[in-house]
Amino acid sequence: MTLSGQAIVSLRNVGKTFDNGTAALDRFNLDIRDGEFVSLLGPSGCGKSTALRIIAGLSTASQGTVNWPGGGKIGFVFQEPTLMPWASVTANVRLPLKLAHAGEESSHEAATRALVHVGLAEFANVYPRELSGGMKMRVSIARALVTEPELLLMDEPFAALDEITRFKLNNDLLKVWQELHRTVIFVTHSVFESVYLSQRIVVMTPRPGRVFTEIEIPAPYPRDERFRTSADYAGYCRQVAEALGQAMAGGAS
Amino acid sequence: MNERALRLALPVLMLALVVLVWDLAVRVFAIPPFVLPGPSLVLATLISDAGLLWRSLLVTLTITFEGFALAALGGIALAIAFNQWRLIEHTLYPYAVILQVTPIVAVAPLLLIYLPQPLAVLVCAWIVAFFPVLANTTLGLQSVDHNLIALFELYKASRWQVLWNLKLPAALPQMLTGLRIAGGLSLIGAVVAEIAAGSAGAGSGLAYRIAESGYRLNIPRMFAALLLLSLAGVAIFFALSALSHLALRRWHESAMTREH
Repeated sequence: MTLSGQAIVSLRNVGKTFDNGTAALDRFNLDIRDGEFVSLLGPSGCGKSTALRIIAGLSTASQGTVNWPGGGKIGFVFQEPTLMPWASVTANVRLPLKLAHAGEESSHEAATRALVHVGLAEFANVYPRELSGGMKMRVSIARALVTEPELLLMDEPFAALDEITRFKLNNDLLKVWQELHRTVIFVTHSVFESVYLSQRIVVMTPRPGRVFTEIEIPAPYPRDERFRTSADYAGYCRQVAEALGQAMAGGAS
Repeated sequence: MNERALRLALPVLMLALVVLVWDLAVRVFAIPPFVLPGPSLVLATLISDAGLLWRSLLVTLTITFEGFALAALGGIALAIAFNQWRLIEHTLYPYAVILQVTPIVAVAPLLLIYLPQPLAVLVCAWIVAFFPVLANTTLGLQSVDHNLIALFELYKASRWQVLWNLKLPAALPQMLTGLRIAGGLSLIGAVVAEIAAGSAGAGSGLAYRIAESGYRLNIPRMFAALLLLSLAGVAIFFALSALSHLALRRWHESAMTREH
Protein backbone atom coordinates (compact mmCIF):
# COMPACT_ATOMS: atom_id res chain seq x y z
CA MET A 1 0.00 0.00 0.00
CA THR A 2 1.47 3.36 -0.99
CA LEU A 3 0.81 6.88 0.08
CA SER A 4 0.47 8.17 -3.46
CA GLY A 5 -3.23 7.32 -3.71
CA GLN A 6 -5.72 9.93 -4.81
CA ALA A 7 -7.38 12.16 -2.21
CA ILE A 8 -10.88 10.90 -1.52
CA VAL A 9 -11.69 13.51 1.10
CA SER A 10 -10.37 17.06 1.27
CA LEU A 11 -11.05 19.60 3.98
CA ARG A 12 -10.11 23.18 3.09
CA ASN A 13 -9.97 25.95 5.70
CA VAL A 14 -12.69 24.27 7.70
CA GLY A 15 -13.77 26.18 10.79
CA LYS A 16 -16.33 25.22 13.39
CA THR A 17 -17.67 27.53 16.06
CA PHE A 18 -20.31 26.14 18.38
CA ASP A 19 -23.40 28.08 19.42
CA ASN A 20 -21.83 28.84 22.78
CA GLY A 21 -18.94 30.62 21.03
CA THR A 22 -16.32 27.86 21.44
CA ALA A 23 -14.08 27.64 18.40
CA ALA A 24 -13.45 23.93 17.92
CA LEU A 25 -11.72 24.11 14.54
CA ASP A 26 -10.01 26.92 12.68
CA ARG A 27 -8.60 26.83 9.14
CA PHE A 28 -8.30 23.09 9.31
CA ASN A 29 -6.84 21.45 6.19
CA LEU A 30 -6.70 17.73 5.58
CA ASP A 31 -6.39 15.42 2.60
CA ILE A 32 -7.26 11.78 3.00
CA ARG A 33 -5.91 9.48 0.33
CA ASP A 34 -7.58 6.33 -0.84
CA GLY A 35 -6.77 3.30 1.28
CA GLU A 36 -4.62 5.02 3.87
CA PHE A 37 -4.68 4.78 7.64
CA VAL A 38 -4.52 8.26 9.16
CA SER A 39 -4.68 9.24 12.82
CA LEU A 40 -5.78 12.58 14.15
CA LEU A 41 -3.77 13.06 17.31
CA GLY A 42 -4.26 15.77 19.90
CA PRO A 43 -5.26 16.49 23.46
CA SER A 44 -8.92 16.37 24.37
CA GLY A 45 -10.77 19.45 23.24
CA CYS A 46 -8.62 19.95 20.14
CA GLY A 47 -11.55 19.45 17.78
CA LYS A 48 -10.44 16.11 16.39
CA SER A 49 -13.81 14.51 17.07
CA THR A 50 -15.51 17.56 15.59
CA ALA A 51 -13.47 17.16 12.42
CA LEU A 52 -14.56 13.53 12.23
CA ARG A 53 -18.21 14.40 12.71
CA ILE A 54 -17.99 17.04 9.98
CA ILE A 55 -16.53 14.50 7.56
CA ALA A 56 -19.33 12.09 8.50
CA GLY A 57 -21.96 14.77 7.90
CA LEU A 58 -23.13 14.60 11.52
CA SER A 59 -22.09 18.20 11.98
CA THR A 60 -21.71 21.06 9.52
CA ALA A 61 -18.66 23.27 9.09
CA SER A 62 -19.10 26.95 9.98
CA GLN A 63 -16.52 27.94 7.38
CA GLY A 64 -14.60 26.25 4.60
CA THR A 65 -15.39 23.31 2.39
CA VAL A 66 -15.46 19.56 2.70
CA ASN A 67 -14.83 17.89 -0.61
CA TRP A 68 -15.64 14.29 -1.20
CA PRO A 69 -15.65 13.60 -4.93
CA GLY A 70 -16.63 9.96 -4.51
CA GLY A 71 -19.23 10.72 -1.88
CA GLY A 72 -19.31 7.08 -0.87
CA LYS A 73 -20.45 5.20 2.15
CA ILE A 74 -19.17 5.86 5.65
CA GLY A 75 -18.77 3.64 8.66
CA PHE A 76 -18.54 5.32 12.05
CA VAL A 77 -17.29 3.88 15.32
CA PHE A 78 -18.09 5.96 18.39
CA GLN A 79 -16.15 6.29 21.60
CA GLU A 80 -18.68 4.00 23.26
CA PRO A 81 -19.90 0.81 21.58
CA THR A 82 -23.32 2.49 21.06
CA LEU A 83 -25.21 -0.77 20.63
CA MET A 84 -28.95 -1.25 20.96
CA PRO A 85 -29.28 -3.29 24.18
CA TRP A 86 -32.63 -4.74 23.11
CA ALA A 87 -31.26 -6.28 19.94
CA SER A 88 -29.00 -9.31 19.46
CA VAL A 89 -25.46 -8.91 18.14
CA THR A 90 -26.57 -9.85 14.61
CA ALA A 91 -29.50 -7.43 14.71
CA ASN A 92 -27.15 -4.67 15.83
CA VAL A 93 -24.69 -5.37 13.05
CA ARG A 94 -27.48 -5.60 10.47
CA LEU A 95 -29.01 -2.28 11.45
CA PRO A 96 -27.39 -0.10 8.74
CA LEU A 97 -28.61 -2.50 6.04
CA LYS A 98 -32.07 -2.71 7.57
CA LEU A 99 -32.33 1.07 7.56
CA ALA A 100 -31.39 1.00 3.86
CA HIS A 101 -34.20 -1.54 3.27
CA ALA A 102 -31.80 -4.30 2.22
CA GLY A 103 -33.19 -7.81 1.85
CA GLU A 104 -33.44 -9.98 4.95
CA GLU A 105 -31.25 -12.75 3.61
CA SER A 106 -28.49 -10.66 2.04
CA SER A 107 -28.22 -8.43 5.09
CA HIS A 108 -28.04 -11.45 7.36
CA GLU A 109 -25.17 -12.83 5.29
CA ALA A 110 -23.38 -9.50 5.32
CA ALA A 111 -23.76 -9.28 9.09
CA THR A 112 -22.35 -12.77 9.49
CA ARG A 113 -19.36 -11.88 7.27
CA ALA A 114 -18.71 -8.72 9.28
CA LEU A 115 -18.85 -10.69 12.52
CA VAL A 116 -16.34 -13.19 11.14
CA HIS A 117 -13.97 -10.31 10.37
CA VAL A 118 -14.00 -9.17 13.99
CA GLY A 119 -13.84 -12.71 15.35
CA LEU A 120 -17.30 -12.82 16.90
CA ALA A 121 -19.03 -15.33 14.63
CA GLU A 122 -20.13 -17.54 17.52
CA PHE A 123 -21.68 -14.65 19.43
CA ALA A 124 -24.25 -13.77 16.78
CA ASN A 125 -27.32 -14.43 18.91
CA VAL A 126 -26.03 -13.03 22.17
CA TYR A 127 -27.27 -9.75 23.63
CA PRO A 128 -24.82 -6.87 24.13
CA ARG A 129 -24.97 -6.93 27.92
CA GLU A 130 -23.53 -10.42 27.94
CA LEU A 131 -20.37 -9.21 26.18
CA SER A 132 -17.19 -7.67 27.58
CA GLY A 133 -16.22 -4.09 26.73
CA GLY A 134 -13.75 -5.23 24.08
CA MET A 135 -16.29 -7.55 22.45
CA LYS A 136 -18.91 -4.80 22.38
CA MET A 137 -16.43 -2.61 20.56
CA ARG A 138 -15.83 -5.40 18.04
CA VAL A 139 -19.57 -5.57 17.40
CA SER A 140 -19.53 -1.82 16.88
CA ILE A 141 -16.70 -2.21 14.33
CA ALA A 142 -18.56 -5.03 12.58
CA ARG A 143 -21.59 -2.78 12.27
CA ALA A 144 -19.45 -0.03 10.77
CA LEU A 145 -18.02 -2.52 8.25
CA VAL A 146 -21.30 -4.17 7.25
CA THR A 147 -22.18 -1.65 4.53
CA GLU A 148 -18.68 -2.09 3.02
CA PRO A 149 -17.91 1.61 3.45
CA GLU A 150 -15.13 3.35 1.53
CA LEU A 151 -14.27 5.35 4.62
CA LEU A 152 -14.13 4.13 8.18
CA LEU A 153 -14.21 6.87 10.82
CA MET A 154 -13.20 5.94 14.34
CA ASP A 155 -13.59 8.33 17.26
CA GLU A 156 -11.26 7.18 20.08
CA PRO A 157 -12.87 3.74 19.93
CA PHE A 158 -10.47 2.02 22.32
CA ALA A 159 -9.96 4.81 24.86
CA ALA A 160 -12.12 3.16 27.51
CA LEU A 161 -10.56 -0.30 27.21
CA ASP A 162 -7.79 -1.82 29.28
CA GLU A 163 -4.34 -2.00 27.72
CA ILE A 164 -4.34 -5.71 26.97
CA THR A 165 -7.68 -5.52 25.19
CA ARG A 166 -6.62 -2.36 23.39
CA PHE A 167 -3.45 -3.97 22.01
CA LYS A 168 -5.47 -6.94 20.82
CA LEU A 169 -8.02 -4.72 19.12
CA ASN A 170 -5.23 -2.63 17.56
CA ASN A 171 -3.82 -5.78 15.98
CA ASP A 172 -7.20 -6.99 14.79
CA LEU A 173 -8.08 -3.58 13.37
CA LEU A 174 -4.86 -3.56 11.34
CA LYS A 175 -5.65 -7.05 10.07
CA VAL A 176 -9.12 -6.00 8.98
CA TRP A 177 -7.71 -2.87 7.34
CA GLN A 178 -5.22 -4.91 5.33
CA GLU A 179 -7.82 -7.50 4.33
CA LEU A 180 -10.51 -5.04 3.30
CA HIS A 181 -8.42 -2.12 1.97
CA ARG A 182 -10.62 0.53 3.52
CA THR A 183 -9.56 4.08 4.23
CA VAL A 184 -9.45 4.68 7.98
CA ILE A 185 -9.43 7.97 9.90
CA PHE A 186 -8.66 7.21 13.50
CA VAL A 187 -9.00 9.79 16.25
CA THR A 188 -6.91 9.21 19.37
CA HIS A 189 -5.10 11.02 22.13
CA SER A 190 -2.58 8.22 22.52
CA VAL A 191 0.82 8.77 20.89
CA PHE A 192 1.60 5.05 21.15
CA GLU A 193 -1.63 3.93 19.57
CA SER A 194 -1.35 6.40 16.70
CA VAL A 195 2.23 5.37 15.89
CA TYR A 196 1.41 1.68 16.05
CA LEU A 197 -1.57 1.93 13.72
CA SER A 198 -1.04 4.73 11.24
CA GLN A 199 0.78 5.46 8.05
CA ARG A 200 0.37 9.14 8.76
CA ILE A 201 -0.31 11.09 11.94
CA VAL A 202 -1.91 14.52 11.87
CA VAL A 203 -0.90 16.33 15.06
CA MET A 204 -3.41 18.99 16.09
CA THR A 205 -3.22 22.08 18.28
CA PRO A 206 -5.89 22.61 20.93
CA ARG A 207 -8.54 25.36 20.96
CA PRO A 208 -9.04 26.03 18.16
CA GLY A 209 -8.03 22.81 16.43
CA ARG A 210 -5.56 23.30 13.62
CA VAL A 211 -3.06 21.02 11.92
CA PHE A 212 0.25 21.53 13.68
CA THR A 213 2.23 19.04 11.65
CA GLU A 214 1.95 15.75 9.80
CA ILE A 215 4.29 12.87 10.48
CA GLU A 216 4.67 9.82 8.25
CA ILE A 217 5.28 6.47 9.91
CA PRO A 218 6.99 4.54 7.11
CA ALA A 219 7.30 1.25 9.03
CA PRO A 220 6.01 -1.61 6.89
CA TYR A 221 2.86 -3.66 7.57
CA PRO A 222 1.97 -6.14 8.92
CA ARG A 223 2.95 -4.62 12.24
CA ASP A 224 2.91 -6.83 15.28
CA GLU A 225 4.24 -7.14 18.81
CA ARG A 226 7.80 -7.11 17.46
CA PHE A 227 7.18 -3.66 16.01
CA ARG A 228 5.63 -2.52 19.28
CA THR A 229 8.84 -3.33 21.15
CA SER A 230 11.28 -2.21 18.43
CA ALA A 231 13.69 0.69 18.62
CA ASP A 232 12.10 2.11 15.46
CA TYR A 233 8.73 2.26 17.22
CA ALA A 234 10.24 3.96 20.25
CA GLY A 235 11.94 6.47 17.94
CA TYR A 236 8.70 7.33 16.11
CA CYS A 237 6.91 7.65 19.44
CA ARG A 238 9.51 10.12 20.69
CA GLN A 239 9.25 12.14 17.47
CA VAL A 240 5.45 12.25 17.64
CA ALA A 241 5.40 13.00 21.38
CA GLU A 242 7.75 15.94 20.83
CA ALA A 243 5.55 17.28 18.07
CA LEU A 244 2.50 16.92 20.28
CA GLY A 245 4.29 18.74 23.10
CA GLN A 246 5.13 21.62 20.77
CA ALA A 247 1.57 21.68 19.44
CA MET A 248 0.17 21.97 22.94
CA ALA A 249 2.67 24.65 23.98
CA GLY A 250 1.89 26.65 20.85
CA GLY A 251 -1.84 26.18 21.11
CA ALA A 252 -2.04 27.17 24.76
CA SER A 253 -0.65 30.67 24.18
CA MET B 1 -33.59 -21.70 55.00
CA ASN B 2 -32.50 -19.88 51.91
CA GLU B 3 -33.34 -16.27 51.18
CA ARG B 4 -36.04 -16.91 48.59
CA ALA B 5 -38.04 -19.22 50.90
CA LEU B 6 -37.65 -16.71 53.69
CA ARG B 7 -38.99 -13.91 51.53
CA LEU B 8 -42.06 -16.00 50.82
CA ALA B 9 -42.50 -17.34 54.35
CA LEU B 10 -42.18 -14.06 56.24
CA PRO B 11 -45.18 -12.24 54.71
CA VAL B 12 -47.30 -15.39 55.03
CA LEU B 13 -46.32 -15.66 58.67
CA MET B 14 -47.17 -12.00 59.16
CA LEU B 15 -50.61 -12.55 57.59
CA ALA B 16 -51.32 -15.54 59.84
CA LEU B 17 -50.35 -13.47 62.87
CA VAL B 18 -52.62 -10.55 61.93
CA VAL B 19 -55.58 -12.86 61.25
CA LEU B 20 -54.98 -14.61 64.56
CA VAL B 21 -54.88 -11.36 66.56
CA TRP B 22 -57.95 -10.13 64.69
CA ASP B 23 -59.85 -13.32 65.45
CA LEU B 24 -58.79 -13.33 69.12
CA ALA B 25 -59.74 -9.67 69.58
CA VAL B 26 -63.21 -10.23 68.14
CA ARG B 27 -63.74 -13.27 70.42
CA VAL B 28 -62.18 -11.94 73.63
CA PHE B 29 -63.83 -8.51 73.51
CA ALA B 30 -67.04 -9.97 72.07
CA ILE B 31 -67.12 -7.33 69.32
CA PRO B 32 -70.46 -7.48 67.49
CA PRO B 33 -70.26 -8.28 63.74
CA PHE B 34 -71.74 -4.91 62.71
CA VAL B 35 -68.72 -3.22 64.32
CA LEU B 36 -65.97 -5.64 63.34
CA PRO B 37 -66.70 -9.08 61.89
CA GLY B 38 -64.16 -11.81 62.61
CA PRO B 39 -62.08 -13.30 59.79
CA SER B 40 -64.15 -16.50 59.76
CA LEU B 41 -67.35 -14.50 59.26
CA VAL B 42 -65.78 -12.50 56.42
CA LEU B 43 -64.74 -15.75 54.78
CA ALA B 44 -68.22 -17.22 55.32
CA THR B 45 -69.79 -14.10 53.75
CA LEU B 46 -67.39 -14.34 50.85
CA ILE B 47 -68.67 -17.86 50.22
CA SER B 48 -72.37 -17.25 50.89
CA ASP B 49 -72.42 -14.07 48.76
CA ALA B 50 -70.10 -15.53 46.17
CA GLY B 51 -72.51 -15.17 43.23
CA LEU B 52 -73.31 -11.53 43.95
CA LEU B 53 -69.75 -10.52 44.72
CA TRP B 54 -68.37 -12.36 41.72
CA ARG B 55 -70.74 -10.51 39.35
CA SER B 56 -69.72 -7.22 40.98
CA LEU B 57 -66.06 -8.09 40.70
CA LEU B 58 -66.51 -8.76 36.98
CA VAL B 59 -68.22 -5.39 36.51
CA THR B 60 -65.40 -3.53 38.27
CA LEU B 61 -62.68 -5.50 36.52
CA THR B 62 -64.25 -4.91 33.11
CA ILE B 63 -64.31 -1.17 33.70
CA THR B 64 -60.78 -1.29 35.05
CA PHE B 65 -59.48 -3.12 32.00
CA GLU B 66 -61.32 -0.86 29.60
CA GLY B 67 -60.01 2.21 31.39
CA PHE B 68 -56.51 0.73 31.45
CA ALA B 69 -56.57 -0.19 27.77
CA LEU B 70 -57.77 3.28 26.77
CA ALA B 71 -55.19 4.87 29.07
CA ALA B 72 -52.42 2.72 27.62
CA LEU B 73 -53.41 3.46 24.02
CA GLY B 74 -54.10 7.12 24.64
CA GLY B 75 -51.02 7.68 26.79
CA ILE B 76 -48.63 5.99 24.35
CA ALA B 77 -50.22 7.62 21.30
CA LEU B 78 -50.10 11.06 22.86
CA ALA B 79 -46.50 10.54 24.02
CA ILE B 80 -45.54 9.64 20.45
CA ALA B 81 -47.37 12.70 19.15
CA PHE B 82 -45.59 14.88 21.73
CA ASN B 83 -42.28 13.43 20.67
CA GLN B 84 -42.86 13.89 16.95
CA TRP B 85 -44.46 17.33 17.03
CA ARG B 86 -43.20 19.70 19.69
CA LEU B 87 -46.11 22.08 19.05
CA ILE B 88 -48.61 19.47 20.20
CA GLU B 89 -46.56 18.93 23.36
CA HIS B 90 -46.45 22.66 24.12
CA THR B 91 -50.16 22.97 23.49
CA LEU B 92 -51.46 19.96 25.38
CA TYR B 93 -48.99 19.09 28.11
CA PRO B 94 -50.22 21.72 30.64
CA TYR B 95 -53.74 20.33 30.34
CA ALA B 96 -52.55 16.78 30.84
CA VAL B 97 -50.92 17.97 34.06
CA ILE B 98 -54.08 19.79 35.18
CA LEU B 99 -56.09 16.63 34.52
CA GLN B 100 -53.63 14.73 36.67
CA VAL B 101 -53.35 17.09 39.65
CA THR B 102 -57.08 17.73 40.01
CA PRO B 103 -58.30 15.15 42.56
CA ILE B 104 -60.46 12.62 40.77
CA VAL B 105 -62.83 12.36 43.75
CA ALA B 106 -63.81 15.96 43.09
CA VAL B 107 -64.25 15.46 39.35
CA ALA B 108 -66.30 12.25 39.54
CA PRO B 109 -69.59 13.83 40.72
CA LEU B 110 -69.46 16.28 37.81
CA LEU B 111 -68.82 13.53 35.30
CA LEU B 112 -71.78 11.62 36.73
CA ILE B 113 -74.02 14.56 35.95
CA TYR B 114 -73.01 14.88 32.32
CA LEU B 115 -72.37 11.29 31.35
CA PRO B 116 -74.35 8.08 31.72
CA GLN B 117 -72.98 6.26 34.75
CA PRO B 118 -71.04 3.40 33.10
CA LEU B 119 -69.33 5.89 30.80
CA ALA B 120 -68.56 8.26 33.69
CA VAL B 121 -66.92 5.44 35.62
CA LEU B 122 -64.88 4.50 32.58
CA VAL B 123 -63.78 8.09 32.03
CA CYS B 124 -62.70 8.30 35.67
CA ALA B 125 -60.61 5.15 35.35
CA TRP B 126 -59.07 6.57 32.18
CA ILE B 127 -58.26 10.00 33.58
CA VAL B 128 -56.39 8.59 36.56
CA ALA B 129 -54.52 5.91 34.64
CA PHE B 130 -53.54 7.82 31.56
CA PHE B 131 -51.06 10.34 32.94
CA PRO B 132 -48.39 7.93 34.25
CA VAL B 133 -48.37 6.21 30.84
CA LEU B 134 -48.01 9.55 29.09
CA ALA B 135 -45.36 10.95 31.44
CA ASN B 136 -43.21 7.81 31.56
CA THR B 137 -43.41 7.11 27.83
CA THR B 138 -42.57 10.73 27.03
CA LEU B 139 -39.54 10.54 29.29
CA GLY B 140 -38.47 7.25 27.71
CA LEU B 141 -38.79 8.60 24.17
CA GLN B 142 -36.68 11.61 25.09
CA SER B 143 -33.87 9.78 26.83
CA VAL B 144 -32.47 7.86 23.87
CA ASP B 145 -28.67 7.54 23.65
CA HIS B 146 -27.46 10.52 21.59
CA ASN B 147 -24.84 8.48 19.80
CA LEU B 148 -27.49 6.00 18.66
CA ILE B 149 -29.48 8.91 17.27
CA ALA B 150 -26.35 10.11 15.47
CA LEU B 151 -25.86 6.59 14.12
CA PHE B 152 -29.40 6.49 12.71
CA GLU B 153 -28.81 9.93 11.22
CA LEU B 154 -25.58 8.73 9.64
CA TYR B 155 -27.44 5.91 7.88
CA LYS B 156 -30.12 8.36 6.75
CA ALA B 157 -32.91 6.70 8.71
CA SER B 158 -36.35 8.20 8.18
CA ARG B 159 -38.27 9.69 11.05
CA TRP B 160 -40.46 6.62 11.32
CA GLN B 161 -37.49 4.29 11.24
CA VAL B 162 -36.00 6.24 14.14
CA LEU B 163 -39.29 6.03 16.01
CA TRP B 164 -39.93 2.36 15.35
CA ASN B 165 -36.42 0.94 15.52
CA LEU B 166 -34.87 3.21 18.11
CA LYS B 167 -37.12 5.40 20.21
CA LEU B 168 -39.94 2.95 20.97
CA PRO B 169 -37.70 0.05 21.98
CA ALA B 170 -35.51 2.42 24.02
CA ALA B 171 -38.60 3.78 25.77
CA LEU B 172 -40.03 0.32 26.50
CA PRO B 173 -38.76 0.05 30.11
CA GLN B 174 -40.23 3.42 31.09
CA MET B 175 -43.41 2.68 29.14
CA LEU B 176 -43.87 -0.55 31.08
CA THR B 177 -43.28 1.27 34.35
CA GLY B 178 -46.04 3.68 33.36
CA LEU B 179 -48.36 0.79 32.52
CA ARG B 180 -47.66 -0.90 35.84
CA ILE B 181 -48.65 2.24 37.71
CA ALA B 182 -51.66 2.74 35.43
CA GLY B 183 -53.01 -0.75 36.15
CA GLY B 184 -53.42 -0.02 39.85
CA LEU B 185 -54.65 3.50 39.22
CA SER B 186 -57.39 2.51 36.78
CA LEU B 187 -58.82 0.26 39.49
CA ILE B 188 -58.73 3.21 41.88
CA GLY B 189 -60.40 5.45 39.29
CA ALA B 190 -63.19 2.93 38.72
CA VAL B 191 -63.75 2.53 42.47
CA VAL B 192 -63.78 6.28 43.08
CA ALA B 193 -66.42 6.83 40.42
CA GLU B 194 -68.58 3.98 41.70
CA ILE B 195 -68.38 5.33 45.23
CA ALA B 196 -69.21 8.83 44.00
CA ALA B 197 -72.21 7.44 42.15
CA GLY B 198 -73.11 5.79 45.47
CA SER B 199 -76.63 4.66 46.13
CA ALA B 200 -77.90 6.86 43.30
CA GLY B 201 -75.96 4.76 40.85
CA ALA B 202 -77.42 1.93 38.89
CA GLY B 203 -74.06 0.17 38.79
CA SER B 204 -73.28 -3.06 40.49
CA GLY B 205 -69.51 -2.98 40.80
CA LEU B 206 -67.63 -3.96 43.94
CA ALA B 207 -67.27 -0.38 45.17
CA TYR B 208 -71.01 0.07 44.74
CA ARG B 209 -71.48 -3.08 46.83
CA ILE B 210 -69.29 -1.58 49.56
CA ALA B 211 -71.28 1.67 49.60
CA GLU B 212 -74.58 -0.21 49.56
CA SER B 213 -73.52 -2.64 52.30
CA GLY B 214 -72.39 0.32 54.37
CA TYR B 215 -75.85 1.86 54.21
CA ARG B 216 -77.36 -1.47 55.22
CA LEU B 217 -74.80 -1.98 58.01
CA ASN B 218 -73.85 -5.26 56.34
CA ILE B 219 -70.24 -4.91 57.57
CA PRO B 220 -69.13 -8.51 56.82
CA ARG B 221 -70.04 -8.01 53.16
CA MET B 222 -68.13 -4.71 53.13
CA PHE B 223 -65.04 -6.57 54.30
CA ALA B 224 -65.58 -9.37 51.78
CA ALA B 225 -65.92 -6.89 48.92
CA LEU B 226 -62.87 -4.96 50.14
CA LEU B 227 -60.86 -8.15 50.28
CA LEU B 228 -61.82 -8.94 46.68
CA LEU B 229 -60.87 -5.44 45.52
CA SER B 230 -57.55 -5.75 47.25
CA LEU B 231 -56.90 -9.13 45.64
CA ALA B 232 -57.87 -7.72 42.25
CA GLY B 233 -55.35 -4.91 42.70
CA VAL B 234 -52.61 -7.36 43.67
CA ALA B 235 -53.44 -9.59 40.70
CA ILE B 236 -53.27 -6.62 38.30
CA PHE B 237 -49.92 -5.56 39.75
CA PHE B 238 -48.42 -9.02 39.40
CA ALA B 239 -49.81 -9.54 35.91
CA LEU B 240 -48.26 -6.29 34.69
CA SER B 241 -44.99 -6.98 36.49
CA ALA B 242 -44.83 -10.36 34.78
CA LEU B 243 -45.52 -8.75 31.41
CA SER B 244 -42.77 -6.22 32.05
CA HIS B 245 -40.34 -8.93 33.05
CA LEU B 246 -41.13 -11.00 29.96
CA ALA B 247 -40.64 -8.03 27.65
CA LEU B 248 -37.34 -6.94 29.19
CA ARG B 249 -35.78 -10.15 30.40
CA ARG B 250 -33.31 -10.48 27.54
CA TRP B 251 -31.75 -7.07 27.77
CA HIS B 252 -32.73 -4.70 30.54
CA GLU B 253 -30.86 -4.50 33.82
CA SER B 254 -34.11 -4.30 35.78
CA ALA B 255 -35.11 -7.79 34.66
CA MET B 256 -31.76 -9.42 35.34
CA THR B 257 -31.09 -11.64 38.31
CA ARG B 258 -27.78 -10.71 39.84
CA GLU B 259 -25.26 -13.44 40.33
CA HIS B 260 -24.01 -13.78 43.87
